[in-house]
Amino acid sequence: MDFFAQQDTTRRTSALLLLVFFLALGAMAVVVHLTIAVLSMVLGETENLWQSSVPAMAMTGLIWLTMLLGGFFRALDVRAGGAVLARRYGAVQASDRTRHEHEQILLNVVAEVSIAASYPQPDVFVLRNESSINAFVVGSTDANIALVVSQGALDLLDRDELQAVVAHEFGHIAQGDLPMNMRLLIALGGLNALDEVGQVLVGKHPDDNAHPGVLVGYLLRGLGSAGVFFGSLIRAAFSRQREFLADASAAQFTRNPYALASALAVIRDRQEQSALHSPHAQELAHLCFHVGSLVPWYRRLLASHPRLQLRIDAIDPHFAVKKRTRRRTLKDSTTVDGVNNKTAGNNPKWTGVGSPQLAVVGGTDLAVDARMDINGSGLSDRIVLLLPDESSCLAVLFALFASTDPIKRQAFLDAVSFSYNPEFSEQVKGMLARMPGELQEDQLGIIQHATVLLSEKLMLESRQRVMMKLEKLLPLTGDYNLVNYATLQLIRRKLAVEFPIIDSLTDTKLVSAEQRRVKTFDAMGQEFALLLSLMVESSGSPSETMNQDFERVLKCYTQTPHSRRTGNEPGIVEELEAAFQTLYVQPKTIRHAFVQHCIEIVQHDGKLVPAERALLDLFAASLGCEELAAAA
Amino acid sequence: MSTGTIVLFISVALLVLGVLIYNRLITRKNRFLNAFSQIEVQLQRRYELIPNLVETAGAYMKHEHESLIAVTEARNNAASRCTEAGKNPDNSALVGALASAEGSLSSAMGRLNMVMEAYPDLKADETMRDLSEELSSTENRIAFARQAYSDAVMSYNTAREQFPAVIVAAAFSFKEADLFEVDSPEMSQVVKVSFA
Repeated sequence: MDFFAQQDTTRRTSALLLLVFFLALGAMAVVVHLTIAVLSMVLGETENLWQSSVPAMAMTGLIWLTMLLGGFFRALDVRAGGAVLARRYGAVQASDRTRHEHEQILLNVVAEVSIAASYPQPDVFVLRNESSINAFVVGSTDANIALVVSQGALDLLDRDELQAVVAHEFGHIAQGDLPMNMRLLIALGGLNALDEVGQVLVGKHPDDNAHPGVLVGYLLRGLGSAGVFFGSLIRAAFSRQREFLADASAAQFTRNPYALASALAVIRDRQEQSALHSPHAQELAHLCFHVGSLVPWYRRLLASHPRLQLRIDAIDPHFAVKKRTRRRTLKDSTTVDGVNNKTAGNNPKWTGVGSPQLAVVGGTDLAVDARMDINGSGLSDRIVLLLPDESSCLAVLFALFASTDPIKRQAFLDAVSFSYNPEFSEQVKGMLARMPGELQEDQLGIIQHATVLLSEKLMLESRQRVMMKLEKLLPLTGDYNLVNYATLQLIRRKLAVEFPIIDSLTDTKLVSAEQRRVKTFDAMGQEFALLLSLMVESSGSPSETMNQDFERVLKCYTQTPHSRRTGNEPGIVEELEAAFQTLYVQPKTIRHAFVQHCIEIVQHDGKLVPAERALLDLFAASLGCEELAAAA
Repeated sequence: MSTGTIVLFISVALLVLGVLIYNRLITRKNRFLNAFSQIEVQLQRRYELIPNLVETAGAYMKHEHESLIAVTEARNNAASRCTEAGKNPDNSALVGALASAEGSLSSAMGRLNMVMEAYPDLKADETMRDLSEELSSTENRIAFARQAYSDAVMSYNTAREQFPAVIVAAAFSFKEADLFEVDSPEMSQVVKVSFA
């Protein structure tokens, strides 16, 4: 990336947009004067357009006064200073004396980047309750800038990525985006005031009392809202250019575009959660490092940030390739490292010696686990090659559910052909023939690849339709078991379709109000027992261990003994859904503890088979504790 | 409009333009001067951190006195060279001496880091973790300071050589700034750590 050249281009574009913005403001002033002149002529106050009457002058004065006052109040708001604004958003000043190790790193990183940018250090704040990845700068003049970073960014990004994000924010500061943004906000505030005054004049029931004020009100509203609309449009385009500019500046400061692209990729992968949760989310939206996810084109026009993929491509067009190669080398080294730790842990005598034979055995073991890793760190090349586009990814998702039994498989294909079309069914069949091994063994890899691709290419509505088709189809195949159910829910979560939207869950007949209520631990024994038995069963341990695990963990939740259930009982899926519904409304600490227990059971034997992983993800997602399962 | 007014108008405009250009050059000049002083500040910071590191490591590494002493000596040498060079930044011989002292300090630190790998307790020590974070942060700052200096020099030189500014620069003797290049091979050498 030639960041100097890129900076020049974006700077030119944004200067042009700024010019357009102020030209539009000027044009609005002309329109205001013309409209009033025409109105006063029509109403018979004056004979021609150039003669001004007292009411017309009063009207013009009123409009300008409103705009100036609106801008003035907005200015008071934004001039409050960065630290004040940051505190208002609930941020806490970062300090090197806290127990939080990450904050020390953050302060160091800010100091480093401030040297790289040759800019004084801003005050650093942390949004401690914000688990999404976000960062922004607030403030109006150089002296009172505050840099705010969310706790999620501190927890989820590594040091280099954090540095890149901080450098991006420094890019905004260094390019003077803050004062510029403030001026645009003030101008928009003035226009907004026009609209609001118009609203007051029109009143709630304009038909009841038709006095001349209503006409003026409509005029003001029309001017104000048109101004606000076009102003926001230009401002959004301007802001998007400034994002590219800040990215290019970040690359200049850190000379590490890879880290920035990688941070953006982390945010993209977590897109479903990246919206701010703080009560000031709406206000903050225009300041954030990243907002929202896939949006239709008309919303994108008003988005203050360009799409993440565009930004990643601008920073480093070959990022995806580099990431794959880097991951591979990283994985090789960590595998060896991990084994050394393992042996060291098991036999303290062997510390640091590391028998090569053990390393090989353990190495392959861990490598297999890594392939099962939900983040797809070891996506096989075959999958990537065989599933290059949306239609193949869609087909493979359906192929996942085809049974191995030839008759049932044919029935499934017929059902697919019935609910979609015969061509699609043929494609699914082709998938089954082309990659039988992967469909059995690397389901998670397939799901990961296919869902990432589909989430990028398809809009939310289409993804919802896909999920609905899958849901309708599965019970028809007569092969609807727990594993299929878990796989389906995993796909749902990966496609970022809201969880859960199954009809049976919202159906009041199945889930009575009684079941939804917060219950005591003991009363939920049955639900816990059900979930636990399924979890224990999926671990594939000998039946002795299963029973032990089951009883040990269940004791933490209830005193009443429950028998262990098995996954192939009829109607188990419906029961499971009802159990989720009951448990989901319980306090988060309980759900957390339960998922922790599940993770413990799963990791008992040191490896993670796909069935375990799928079930664990399903439980965690259904109980609202995704972050725990992702960390496991 | 008389000719006098036009001449007055044009000369006022030229004056304003001249002042703007002059101020821009001054800003850039101060920026690169500040960047230069940052390099020195960060080097000093590193010298202050190393004794702490040696002390903490010494508590765990009873049998590795040689590498600790080597680091301390290299550090003291580099620190005194840095003070000398800081007084006369124009003297290229002094800067060169600083660079070679820095080089030997880096390699001594590299060896120490390698030895420390064998002490898991030491790596887990909280003070040690803080110190190594501080040290790596300082390394970053030194690298960034040099890079910021180069960027600042580049932007200053470009601004100085462009057309209208070149007249102002000549009139107020804005000299061309030098890039901070150290040609000693040790300075640019990256310490390679191999686990073979």
